[in-house]
Amino acid sequence: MQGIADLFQKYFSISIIREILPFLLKGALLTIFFSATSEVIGIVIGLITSMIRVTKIKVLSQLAVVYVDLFRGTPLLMQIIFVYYALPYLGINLPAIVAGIVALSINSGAYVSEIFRAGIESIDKGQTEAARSLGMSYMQAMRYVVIPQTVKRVLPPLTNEFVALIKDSSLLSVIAIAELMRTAKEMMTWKMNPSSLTAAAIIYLIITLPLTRYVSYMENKLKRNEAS
Amino acid sequence: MKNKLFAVVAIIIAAVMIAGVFGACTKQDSANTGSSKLELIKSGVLTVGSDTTWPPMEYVEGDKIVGFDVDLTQAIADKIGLKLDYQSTAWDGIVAALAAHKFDMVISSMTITEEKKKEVNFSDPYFNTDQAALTKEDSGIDAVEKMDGKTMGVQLATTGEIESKKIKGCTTTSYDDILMAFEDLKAGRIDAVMADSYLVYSYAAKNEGFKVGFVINTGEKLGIAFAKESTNLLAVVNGALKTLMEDGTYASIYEKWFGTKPPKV
Repeated sequence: MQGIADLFQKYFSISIIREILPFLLKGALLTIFFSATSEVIGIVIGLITSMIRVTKIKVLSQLAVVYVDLFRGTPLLMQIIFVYYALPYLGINLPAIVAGIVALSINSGAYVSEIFRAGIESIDKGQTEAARSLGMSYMQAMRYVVIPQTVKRVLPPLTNEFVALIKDSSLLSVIAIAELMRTAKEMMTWKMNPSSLTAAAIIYLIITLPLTRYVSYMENKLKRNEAS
Repeated sequence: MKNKLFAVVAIIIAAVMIAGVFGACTKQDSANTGSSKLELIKSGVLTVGSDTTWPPMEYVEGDKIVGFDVDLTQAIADKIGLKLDYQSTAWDGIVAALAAHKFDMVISSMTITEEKKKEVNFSDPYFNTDQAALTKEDSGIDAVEKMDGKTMGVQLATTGEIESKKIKGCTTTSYDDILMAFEDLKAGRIDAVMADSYLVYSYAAKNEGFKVGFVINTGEKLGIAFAKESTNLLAVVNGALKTLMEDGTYASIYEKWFGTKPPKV
């Protein structure tokens, strides 16, 4: 019983959580700002990359492959550190906010491009062929026939990627961005009590839960559509 | 197929190397022209990096960064006539950030060591510390020899880690944050936590059931770290530090945070 009382005092201290909540919420705003901005830029990068990847020009599609492999195959933590700490040696000294967005966007772009590629390839080839035989160019066929259908199919995996990005943005604490996780750690050393971690976890949940619910809803809807 | 891929990779590597050469050149130039002035990232502002999870030296209260180092840095900035921009950063990348000119200087309870002197320049020492071991009151650990066969928690890349690894028969576990080590001590997975003595004493005083098991007299000195190029700034800060020690400002900051008169640094 003493153990449970201690657990509550250490990890669920209401009085401490109440005191630190305003500061955590500030951190949460930064977390949302960084992940949302990077997701939008990541989608643009991913869309372009995925289209480059399915073109017939070998050099370009190989470049896209290298990019995707490089950023999916190495830890995001390392990418953030390289963008912030290593690029200044090449004369590119980005402020933390910019470096954070650049690293998150490039990383997310690599994942998004794979989502889009899978989406594009899931559209029956016959549709492109039909569009081309109607006189559309390759780009027109993509824009008017393939992409609109792709968007609907990629929304659920894209949202999943966004949820992952929200949680991954906690790695930005390594370049001194006071997002939710870093703030929680600072509050923990201030109060010498880890209740701030519990509070941060709940805030992460509040942010991500609507998104994960949305994914299930969309997936069900898609399944029903395809069944009918 | 393989060859093309190789060519692409080679081009990227070449591009990065060329950019590196140009980058190195421009950096050289700016260092030469600015040799007579203070080497500041932003003119008129002293930009300082600090890992603000180390009470009572530097930590966060709400959204304010406070602590002994913070007050001392403010006094230094006032003396030089600069505005202070005191930024929170993570311990992991603190030296890399200084080398990459993200900060003008780093004040973060950093021990002056020969190893670090290869990467950065240090100010004159501004604080003395030893390493102390925090342990549970009933642990029976009252001397360094008692750690034989026991486990010590430390923060990664600190003097505590170095000293702990020297203890005979003692296993060292390193954590990203010192509070995680304290939590693990509470949970009973480790037997003691080693860190700078002021931090350990302040934790033992604030938390029931803990005591200072023993102290290792390392005779460490804390210093402010500068990038190798920032020689003018280093000289000016040293001058300010000397004045603050002599005019009693240092003593009053020390008393505010530690409740006693400062020992000779």
